[in-house]
Amino acid sequence: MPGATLSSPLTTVPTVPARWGERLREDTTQGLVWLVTAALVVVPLLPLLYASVRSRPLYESGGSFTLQGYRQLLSDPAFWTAVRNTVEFAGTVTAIAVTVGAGIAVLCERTDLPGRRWLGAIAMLPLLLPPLGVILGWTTLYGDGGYLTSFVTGTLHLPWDLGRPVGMGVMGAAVSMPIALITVRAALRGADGALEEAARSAGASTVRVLSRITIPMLRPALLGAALLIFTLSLEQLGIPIFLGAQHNVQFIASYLYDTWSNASTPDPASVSAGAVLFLVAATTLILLRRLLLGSEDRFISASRSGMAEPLPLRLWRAPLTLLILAYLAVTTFAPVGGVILASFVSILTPLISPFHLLTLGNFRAAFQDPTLKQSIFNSLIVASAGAAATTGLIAMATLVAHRSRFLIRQSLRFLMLYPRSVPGIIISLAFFWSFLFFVPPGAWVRNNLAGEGIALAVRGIPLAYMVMYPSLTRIATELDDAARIAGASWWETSRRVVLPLLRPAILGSLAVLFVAIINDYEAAIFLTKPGTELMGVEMLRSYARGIQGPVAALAVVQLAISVVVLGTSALVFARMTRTGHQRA
Amino acid sequence: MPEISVKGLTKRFGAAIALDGVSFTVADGELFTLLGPSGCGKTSTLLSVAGFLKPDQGEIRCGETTLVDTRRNAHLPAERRNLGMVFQSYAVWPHMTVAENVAFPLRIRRFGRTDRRARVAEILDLVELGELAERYPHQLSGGQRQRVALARALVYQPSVLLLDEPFSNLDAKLRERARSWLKHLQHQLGLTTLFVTHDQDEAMAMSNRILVMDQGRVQQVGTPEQIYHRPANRFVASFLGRCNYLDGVVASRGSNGTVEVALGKDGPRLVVAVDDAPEVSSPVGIAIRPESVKLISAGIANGDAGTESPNVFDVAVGDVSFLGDHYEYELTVGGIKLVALSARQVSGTQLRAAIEPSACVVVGRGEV
Repeated sequence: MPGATLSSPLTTVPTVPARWGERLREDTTQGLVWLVTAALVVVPLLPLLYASVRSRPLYESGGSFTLQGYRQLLSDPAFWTAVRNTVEFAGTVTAIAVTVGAGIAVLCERTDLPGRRWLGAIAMLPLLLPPLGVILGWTTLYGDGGYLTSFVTGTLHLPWDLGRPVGMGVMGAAVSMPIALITVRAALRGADGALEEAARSAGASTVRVLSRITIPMLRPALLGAALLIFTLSLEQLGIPIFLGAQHNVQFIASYLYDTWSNASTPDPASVSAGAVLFLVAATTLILLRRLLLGSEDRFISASRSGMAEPLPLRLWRAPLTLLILAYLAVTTFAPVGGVILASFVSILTPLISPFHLLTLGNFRAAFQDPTLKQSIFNSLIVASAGAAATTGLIAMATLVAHRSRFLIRQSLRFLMLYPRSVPGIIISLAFFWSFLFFVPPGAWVRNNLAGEGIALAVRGIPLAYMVMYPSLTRIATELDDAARIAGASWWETSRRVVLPLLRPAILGSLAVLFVAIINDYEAAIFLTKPGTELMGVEMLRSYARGIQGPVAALAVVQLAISVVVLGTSALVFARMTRTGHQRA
Repeated sequence: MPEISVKGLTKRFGAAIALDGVSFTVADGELFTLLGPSGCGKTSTLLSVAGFLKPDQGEIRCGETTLVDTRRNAHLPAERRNLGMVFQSYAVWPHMTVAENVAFPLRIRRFGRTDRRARVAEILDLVELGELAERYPHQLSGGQRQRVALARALVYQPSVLLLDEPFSNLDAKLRERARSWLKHLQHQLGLTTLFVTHDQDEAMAMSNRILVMDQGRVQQVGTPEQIYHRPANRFVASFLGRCNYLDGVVASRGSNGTVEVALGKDGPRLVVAVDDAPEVSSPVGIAIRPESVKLISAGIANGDAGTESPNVFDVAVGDVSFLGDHYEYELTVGGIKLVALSARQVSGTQLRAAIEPSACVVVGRGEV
């Protein structure tokens, strides 16, 4: 045993210097973070509400209270058609996405499916792809006169029309499926695998275990995924604009957008009224989901308990793998290939071999057109600044929400997740009115990239939180406590202990937000002005004017940026967490 | 080093009472242990002292400083209490080297760079980690990490050291070494220490005094010997080591601080040493440690066996188990079952058992 004697008495150490107003400063910092978050998430919605009940636009003087906007909206048969289309679309998306997503999740998590690990990973890809690129890919392949449409309808004799809500729903499901996959997978990982083993040892076959044990246990997860996907599907704007034009199929979002763009009087109150109703509907659905399922943790949870021995699929192993691969090939890889192909040919048609039509003209056009060129540049700036600002704010807000004694910290969690249930087009409209209504700050950002950046950043808040929160829960609170008892204030603890440990998540948030903002278009659609164009918005507008090749080229640019940024950050993230694991 | 005094600490979580009027005083330089099963409130007590849990009622003082006084709504934040704490997980910051971990409290106290270095070196030598100053925690063993945590807790000369189950993450061999090492260090530095554990051996081996808790209440406070030999109640007796419980009724009161207890219906009578003699015919519970039951072979006289005890019974031997360093006997006397431990083997199916009156402890009311 060591001789624990001291050669000299320890020199006296001063106690923590009394820092005047430490607690006050702590409260102020935390209060400020709360205020900024609340101001960004809630306040912009207020002028929208106000605008919906005014007889004149907010920027004109005068005007009185009126419900004319609501009356006009509700008496327009086109609005009701749009509602019916939207519900039909969202229902199709939900049914397909939940079935496929849950199926893949169960097969990859609970059975001995060959290649289940990487199948589960690539099935997540649609979530990361630029939405406009995917839509464009589908139109070039499966739309009217699409590259593969005649094969589907002519050779296979399948009834198929991508321009109808059900056809669009099949497409939408391809993009939404990963949400169901994540939710169900989290539920499966949280569930006790021993329950299945117990059924097997009692003599149940694989099919019986899956149908009697596994799937019934997943009911809450399936319901949660279905409600979330349904809500998120309601806000689709790109799909009806790209696919619905020929048949004049409108969704709520595209109806509002078209009414706004084509109205004889600018900025009609009926659009604000529609936006308010839309917002109420989406919020109700999300609250309903919370009510039914309790906390959001189910969606974010990353806990992992006892894993069961995988269920044997026997003869079905190979066919099921091939089936999943075929689904992914048809719904994801082929469209991505389609859009890439479309960007390199003058026209993509099944009548002429694409190899005779190869050209770089689309990229040349995209990079030479001053507006498109400007939009790429602007998008990069907005995405960099927006990702950095949002990550910074949400890192702080997440700390206040989960690692502080701030009085109303609980509400921050709701504030950070709420923008997810606000349709993008409404965020855009809300900021349009806010910048006009709140004159001092509004005027500074109204006519430059900052305004668009703020709207896009707000839409990114839930993403940043969903990246950061699971990482934070893995940092033991004893690490904070150890700093506190050693004399560190909340801010010192955050700065020197928690934030440095959160570095991988901060990097992940930066990458995910950068890509999300680059690929977003809805939140900025009413905010872009000449000189402040953004890539997604310009793609939408150019496509509406019949320009297809350069739009495909821009989609490929988005795709390339997404792949490079997410790929790089995944590599760095893996390295950081590997060393982090060793350290922890 | 000042003393810690805790008075009337109460904490509720909803309907559940975590702490129910907990009071105790830790003397200057003492190693004081909170012992109890999980959920007994020992950790809640420690966290209240540390400042991570706000009690509903009560007062905590450390020397002249009031840490908590609920009547005056005073609650000093953890970072202003100047206490040192070693956490169960050690909570060594993984992104800092050993030296950076230990220097952190000094940095917070605006300690000059040169002084800081000298002091970190001094304390790392004390915990024998001088060589590993530039290592990261993931490069250390569990025992080394624990010593980093200890160095970090001691480097700023805290007024009191708090230890939250610091040995529970070490394997058995290492645990014993770490235990005696820490006790030695604590004694050398004269640290007033509040120690939380659920491990009775650990508590016995290390403590000056032990406080046994259950269901948020203090069951007994005393030296390890007092707690073991004179348990205040059945819970304390059962929590520390093995025990025989016998229910009986007081038959008569002796003159020399003893009572005679009738065990069972027609069972034997047991002479029990008591501080305060209970009333005649009141029911009592008696605790007897198995090692206090002395076995005597049938042919040997009491005096030759070295016992003057009035409690000698004929017993029938049931199962005998060999447990390495001792034998365990299951005995029956007058319909009452008794377990005895003996270092040496005593053969025979009919033996005699002798129990000193002082080895019999009244633990509350019996259940007859």
